[in-house]
Amino acid sequence: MDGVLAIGTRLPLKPGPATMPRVAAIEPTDEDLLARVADGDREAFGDLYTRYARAVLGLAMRRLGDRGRAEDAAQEAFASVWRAARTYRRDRGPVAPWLYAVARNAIADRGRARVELPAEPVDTASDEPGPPEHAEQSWLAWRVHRALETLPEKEREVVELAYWRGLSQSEISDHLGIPLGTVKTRTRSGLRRLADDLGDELG
Amino acid sequence: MTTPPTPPDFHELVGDEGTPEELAKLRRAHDLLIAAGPPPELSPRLAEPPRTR
Repeated sequence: MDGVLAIGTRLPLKPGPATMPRVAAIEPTDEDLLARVADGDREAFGDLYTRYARAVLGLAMRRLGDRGRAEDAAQEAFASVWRAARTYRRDRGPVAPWLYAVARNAIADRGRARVELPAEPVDTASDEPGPPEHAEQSWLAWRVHRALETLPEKEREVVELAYWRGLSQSEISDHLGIPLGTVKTRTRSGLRRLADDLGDELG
Repeated sequence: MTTPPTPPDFHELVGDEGTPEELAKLRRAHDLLIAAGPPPELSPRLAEPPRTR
């Protein structure tokens, strides 16, 4: 995935100056945000976008294969979310699968509009996963990427450096200028939070 | 497509402290991260949500 190359642009090259720890604010739930989006709240739409943009783009890239088309599809997916927000019913389940379905449909529409063959041909004999496996993998990636966005920044940072940049714990310590023990603590804490958030997927 | 980096070694990452249940929980999160692969980074074009009416 060519976006991997750009991960460094999101991560600080050096730690910032020490600051007073922020008091953790109570984050609105996805359901709260979507309810506000349904009322035309663009700020809530922006917050929801921040939470899901990478997951939506990842889904689009997996389905379409081409970065440019995937970016178009991701934008269309969020435009669909804006338009469809009023159709969401909280009593029918959480936002994540609803938003996944809306995004998947928008991406499929974009895929059907293509002249070329789709990026994920599924009717040829091969060892590649078929449609159910693709769907399962797409949903898994969606949930994991969404869960990553919920981690405290300092924990997400070390997890992404370890998993997506391939840095060892010592290298992360050097990279961020923090003690090795802190790296290990943040890593464990981040994994624990992910496990809690992804409980349904862990079965 | 860029080949993702080699996944980190679980034991190097978290050590062996903790109950078996705790380690199993961390292990499952570790496995899910590897299975999911890295999310794409957003280009400047996608830095903001699309304009809506």
